[in-house]
Amino acid sequence: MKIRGIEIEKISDQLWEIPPVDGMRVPGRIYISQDMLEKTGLADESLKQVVNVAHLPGIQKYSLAMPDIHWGYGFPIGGVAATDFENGVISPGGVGYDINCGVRLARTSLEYTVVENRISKLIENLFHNIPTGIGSSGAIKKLSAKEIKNILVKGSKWAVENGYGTDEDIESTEENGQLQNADPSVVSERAIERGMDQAGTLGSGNHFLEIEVVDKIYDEDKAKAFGLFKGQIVIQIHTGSRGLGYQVCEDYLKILIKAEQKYGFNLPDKQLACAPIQSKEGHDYLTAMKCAANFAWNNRQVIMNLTKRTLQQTLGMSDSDLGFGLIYDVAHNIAKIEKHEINGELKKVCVHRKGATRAFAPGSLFIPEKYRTAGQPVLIPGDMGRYSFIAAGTSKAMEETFGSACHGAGRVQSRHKALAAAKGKNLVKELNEKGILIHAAGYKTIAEEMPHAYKDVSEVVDVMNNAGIIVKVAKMRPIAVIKG
Amino acid sequence: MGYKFIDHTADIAVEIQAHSLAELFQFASAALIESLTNPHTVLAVEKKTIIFFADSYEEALVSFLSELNYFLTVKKWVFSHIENICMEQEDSKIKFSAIVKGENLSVDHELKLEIKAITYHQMEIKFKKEYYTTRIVFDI
Repeated sequence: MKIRGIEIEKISDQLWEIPPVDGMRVPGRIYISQDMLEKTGLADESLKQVVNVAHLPGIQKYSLAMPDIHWGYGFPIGGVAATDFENGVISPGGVGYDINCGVRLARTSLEYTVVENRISKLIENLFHNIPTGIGSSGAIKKLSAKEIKNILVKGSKWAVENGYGTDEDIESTEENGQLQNADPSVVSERAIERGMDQAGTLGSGNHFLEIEVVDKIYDEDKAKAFGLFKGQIVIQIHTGSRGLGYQVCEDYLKILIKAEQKYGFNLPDKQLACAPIQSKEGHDYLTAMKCAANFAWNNRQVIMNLTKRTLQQTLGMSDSDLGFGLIYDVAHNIAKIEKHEINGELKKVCVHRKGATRAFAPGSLFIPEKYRTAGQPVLIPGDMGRYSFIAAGTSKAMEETFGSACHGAGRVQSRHKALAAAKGKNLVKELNEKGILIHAAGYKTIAEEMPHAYKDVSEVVDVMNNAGIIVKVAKMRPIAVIKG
Repeated sequence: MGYKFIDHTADIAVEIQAHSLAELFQFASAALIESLTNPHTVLAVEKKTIIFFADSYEEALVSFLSELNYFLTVKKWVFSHIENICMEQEDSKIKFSAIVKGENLSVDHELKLEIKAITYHQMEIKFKKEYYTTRIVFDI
């Protein structure tokens, strides 16, 4: 069949392929169900973007898209591409402006039924303690440029060294919250300036902090390994590298647009600007991106610790009573140097995950020892009115998607349409009636982020689960939400 | 001539039509201001000068709007008027300059949203039938 002029063939109930044509170096592959395909029709430019990504020099096997695919800049959101480390390119379009935007999930030993009547006070205090919204700042004292540079090198370790967490938090973070060889000398002064007062801030848009209840367990063994039980209170945090990351992307797009012309790649989209990984331009971008990724991990670590402190103060609980701890933290906008089996050989590649989550299999040495039997926790947030999921990575993900899975629901309605649909409604009241309390910097954000502006995340997760890329572990429902 | 917001699933997209490049940049900045704040709440009591070099008009447009966004998000300085937009060829580069008027951000100003970046997505400044056109997408 053809969608917007692009030939697409069905491989299985969850997988579709675009055969290579006109300069595509590899086929495109999209994980999506027939039902989702018919409903969304991939009516935006996202399929064309899968085709564009297949043009990248050094791309391996496939230009991939997860079922939450939608229109992005350069890559589609939900796009995954691995490029040869020696002869391939790196592209900021495969990472995005919000470098290391990601999610973390923290557990408590609290049962919902026990703290139900304290949730209102709790979310009020969290909203007070965690800076949220446009240009939010001041979660912790304004840092000097020297301290910001320390964060860029150390990532989450900076937070722990400064009293915002524990060594166990570090162990439960992808890459231990610190990409190695991050050198701040390639990060612009303006990027540092944009990060100065933003460590520990949530920001705006679709970023959030949620208090959730574990609503359903799908896999008891894996849930146990992740420390989850039905009725448990957990905290989910979604944010990234804030202004610092946006600036790194902006700075290097400018450089890489020129590099792409210099190397004569002639790619179909300016936002796909790239440079050889082994070139100065490519190396500098990768290094600066690592710095921004470390800033983001530190950011989520600080926010989580402020959350823990707020929970303790509000509920008057000791560390041991609260049982607070990080389950896992995953990046979903990042490029990583990894080794994957390609045509029977272990090959070093640069895996771009743009709105896609790493989903490493049981046994991987790159996941915490405590999860090596279950597989890597994969965090998939939904919209604020329905549910989120936690799943585990599989060996099939290693074989088919460079160990990657979906990252969320994906918008189906523009902010403008969502605002129009919200007119005359009292969304706060509607959510309250569903048992969800909400605090936001402004009502407009609530309207723009209304549940029906998003795909049903369960459909996205089911495609990945049925394709064997992940195994569903648990479903969480929000009971209190902070929006930027 | 002017600018109009067009529907975009996740972000803000604007289409612009202008008689000249300077007017195109003027309309683009007006679209940015309208997206970020209510310009009627901003007093043009202070001015700043923007000067930079670019390799293309697209790069100049992204740099210009990014600079304005930087004033707001980092310098906490909100603007309402752009004047004297000038672009001239200097060697192989485009020299851009403009004057921006506004004031320090305060609780009196309405802030609508945070723009992460001005993207190059679908941006191509074209000249046809005596007017300039382009599309700009703001990543939010």
